[in-house]
Amino acid sequence: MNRIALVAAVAVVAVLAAAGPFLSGYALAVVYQTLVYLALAYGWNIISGYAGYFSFGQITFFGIGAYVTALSVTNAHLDWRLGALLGGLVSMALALPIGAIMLRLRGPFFSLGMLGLAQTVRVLISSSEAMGGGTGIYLPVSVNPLVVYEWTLGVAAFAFAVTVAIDRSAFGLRLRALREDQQVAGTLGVDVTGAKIRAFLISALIPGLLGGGYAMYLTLVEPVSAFSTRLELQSIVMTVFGGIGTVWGPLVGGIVMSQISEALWARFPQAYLMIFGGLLVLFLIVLPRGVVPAIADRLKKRGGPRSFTPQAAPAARETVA
Amino acid sequence: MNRLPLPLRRGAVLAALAAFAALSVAGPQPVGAADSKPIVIGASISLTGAYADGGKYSLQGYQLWVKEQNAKGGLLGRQIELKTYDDQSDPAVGVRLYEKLITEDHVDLLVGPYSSALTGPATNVAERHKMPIMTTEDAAAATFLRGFKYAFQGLPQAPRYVQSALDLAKAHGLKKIAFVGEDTAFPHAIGASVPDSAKKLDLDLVVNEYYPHNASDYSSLAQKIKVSGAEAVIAVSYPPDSVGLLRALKQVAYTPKEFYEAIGPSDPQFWQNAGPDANGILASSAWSSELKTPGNAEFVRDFTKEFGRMPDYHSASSFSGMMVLAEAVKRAGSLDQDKIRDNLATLHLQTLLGEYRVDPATGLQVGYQMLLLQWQNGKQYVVAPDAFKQKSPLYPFPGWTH
Amino acid sequence: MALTLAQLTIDGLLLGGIYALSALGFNMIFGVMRVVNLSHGQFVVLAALLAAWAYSTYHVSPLVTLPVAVAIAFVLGALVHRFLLRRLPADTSSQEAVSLTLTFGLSYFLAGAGLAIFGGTFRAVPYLTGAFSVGPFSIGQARLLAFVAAAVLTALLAVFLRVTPIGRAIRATSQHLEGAMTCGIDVDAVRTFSFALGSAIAAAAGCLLSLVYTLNPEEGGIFTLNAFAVVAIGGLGSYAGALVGAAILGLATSYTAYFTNAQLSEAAPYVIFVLVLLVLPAGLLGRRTA
Repeated sequence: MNRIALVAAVAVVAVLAAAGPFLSGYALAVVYQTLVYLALAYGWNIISGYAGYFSFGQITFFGIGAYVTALSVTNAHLDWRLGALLGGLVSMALALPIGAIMLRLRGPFFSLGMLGLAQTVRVLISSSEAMGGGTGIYLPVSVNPLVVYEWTLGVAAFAFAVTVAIDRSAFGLRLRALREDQQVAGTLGVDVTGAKIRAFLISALIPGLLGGGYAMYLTLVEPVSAFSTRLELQSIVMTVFGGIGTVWGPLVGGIVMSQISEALWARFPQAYLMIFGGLLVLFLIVLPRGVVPAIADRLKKRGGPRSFTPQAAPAARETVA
Repeated sequence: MNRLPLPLRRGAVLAALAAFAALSVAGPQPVGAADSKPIVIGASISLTGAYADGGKYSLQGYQLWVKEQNAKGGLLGRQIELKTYDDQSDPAVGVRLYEKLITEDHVDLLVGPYSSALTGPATNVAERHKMPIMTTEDAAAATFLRGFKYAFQGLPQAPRYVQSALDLAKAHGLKKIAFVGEDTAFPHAIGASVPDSAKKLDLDLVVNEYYPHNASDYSSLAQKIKVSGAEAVIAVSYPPDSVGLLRALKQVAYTPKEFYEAIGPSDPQFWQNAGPDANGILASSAWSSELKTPGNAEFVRDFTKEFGRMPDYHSASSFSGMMVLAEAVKRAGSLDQDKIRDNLATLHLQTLLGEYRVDPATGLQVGYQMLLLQWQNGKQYVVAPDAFKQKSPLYPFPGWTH
Repeated sequence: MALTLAQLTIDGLLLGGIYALSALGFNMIFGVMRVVNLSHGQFVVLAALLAAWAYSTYHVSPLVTLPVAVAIAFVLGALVHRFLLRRLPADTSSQEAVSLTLTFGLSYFLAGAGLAIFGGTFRAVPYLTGAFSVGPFSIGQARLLAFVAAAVLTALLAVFLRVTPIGRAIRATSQHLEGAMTCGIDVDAVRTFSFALGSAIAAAAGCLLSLVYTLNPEEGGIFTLNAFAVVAIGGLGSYAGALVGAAILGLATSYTAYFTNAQLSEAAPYVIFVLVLLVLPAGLLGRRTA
């Protein structure tokens, strides 16, 4: 791992934190939204990228975080940041039994089972009067969006740091091993169940921490936007575009895709979905593993064959032929 | 497949991060305030997503008003420009768009987005920037009861929607009513008052239930209503679920004596989607094309000419919101936001919807009345209140076609 | 009470017919290609919108639009496989994720195309909206039609797969890939044909469902999800299993909506789906899949 890149990452976080007060309302909103996407993408990347459990339902924990925060603010009159922290912890606590059950499903069963979970939790909350039903809960309007922005920046930085740590650790290696082949990993002595549940917990904590900020930002938490399939799917698209299971993939994907998306909807509201979907399909055909691995391969190729990856192999053969 | 840590060149990373940082710190661009420039009115509107249907009607009301007002010489001697973005029916996008309109586009005036779910968050943005926002599509009181100074309601309050339907049931001696509504903010705002209102009228509420947004199947709900023996079905439903509920009731072969579906059937295209089964269905609207308010006939004529379809009450409401805002600006004599705000709070003005009048402390609408509409042989008529009545209600509900 | 229960059972089974119909094409594509086609529901919805548009503009019955929609979807499906899915890497560990994401992107694309063609407003077809009365029970006409169509189409597909040479090639490919290749079957062509056929069946379902539902271009996701739940419960790739799965889901939805509320009934398919899979990972009638 390139130390300079890490130093740069720390510097960027510092710059973004310092720049907050000087941003226009809109610039703040755009950077805020990008940070939400980035943090969601990093959270998702642990369970889905490293551990290979492709989840369509991590937004469940985002919604839970939002509702825990809303309830702690309106009922217990806690400071919302305490509420948001609590939201993260509750998400993680709930992820333990949920993970123990859902992670027994494999492949597309897990993916769509998680999507079903998000829908189920949304419906349960929507039908509960204590949670405000379909109306949702109106929140105090006194919170400065700048504070929400800083909170979210902190969560995004945390998510990035956790990813870097996992990427370099033995835990990260275990996750990759079970992604490639659970049975082999098991016979090699990897505690498969323990490893994937721990990855799931981290992937629940991060969206759980984000949800509270989102609720305060909107001053209203209601089921449809708290369990937004759009947020979920966009963060997945970003990670896949950037490079799933890599440290830099979510960052590159998140920034590029949110800029594209921001530029598209303003100009082509009617064609937005078509262009966005079309681009995703196109990227997958051209760069099925994402931008970051593709760049890495290109660099490696230029610098000689330092490592052998399945994707690099045919490319190398082509140059020989 | 092994994915090793990636030795990215620092140049690439730094370039990417620098680009991000540059983009992030790009502040607002200075805009000259020359008087020759048009007055810009900004709004976000749902053109895609769940609220696209009503959003388009709403946007066209804004557009028509701007076009006509410009033909009449604009506002304060300046032309008017409408700046709108699609919020994709997503409240977070709506917040971002109002931030963009205020801090980036530096619009001069604000009007509201479509639906309660979007208006709640949007009014908070306007409040923070101390810009008055004339909302046109939010009937829920909760939005305006948060101590806001700058938000004004341009629709009648939610509980008023359903009252006339309950009164009608009472007048015809019905005893049992069923209430169902979509599980979103606005139907809840209406539904919350139904148990009390029913009690006051000595009506027995035998079903009181919400169904999910985008629900696909209403058979069991219809069965439940049938079994409950309800004589009137009081639904708060949007156009798609209004049709779905209607079909489900037809398919369980149940004919209520009174069938009311708050919002859905006020859509001028409802007959086309529901077919002749719509005959006799009641709906609420803040407006009707037949209403004798000043300028209404011209509005209907011009709208139909401009957009090739009849306006619905969303269009009339957004058009009226613009009328109110313009009057407040005229009285303020400038674009001074606080003066405009004060005028919006105290103004009484005849619009397409009737008399605009808000509670100065909260901005809640107290002037506008609700109309009870009914489809009769392919046309919508006002059947209550008496002051606006065009036809007597077809009662009881005539039942299904075969 | 007994009468109500019987009526709920009828409603549930009819609803099951609708589920089965909308899951058939999805199941076939998975069975042959092991691709979870997330754009499936979008094919259903676009065909339904086409039928509704034809009805409101030219008063053409959706049953007349059906063959046209089927032909269009067949060609579209063939193109999607030929130019998109076939180009994905053969590498197995990432293929699943990539094909999932690709068909997901495709569903966005198709939803956007639907918005551009049909606009964002919902459409409904006021046709066959009545009900037959059988004793104390009522049976919705459009629903009955969907139910019968689901049974007929499933039977036709089963016969097609057993009797025709191309059907046999499809079965061979789905059961034993290497074996099929050794027998000289052009696996690529078989897959393209299967994807096209699956898309065509989805379109047929869409035309029939236009009589039942009110739809707008962005509502494809719910059909994909329900199809997945149906097929997963029954066993991926098993046609008989899908019918059973659909009936279970239909009944569950019908009963929960009546005895609890309409909101909880929306969650019923997922809860059942997860429960079944935890007990029987291959589904009720499924053979073990990778």
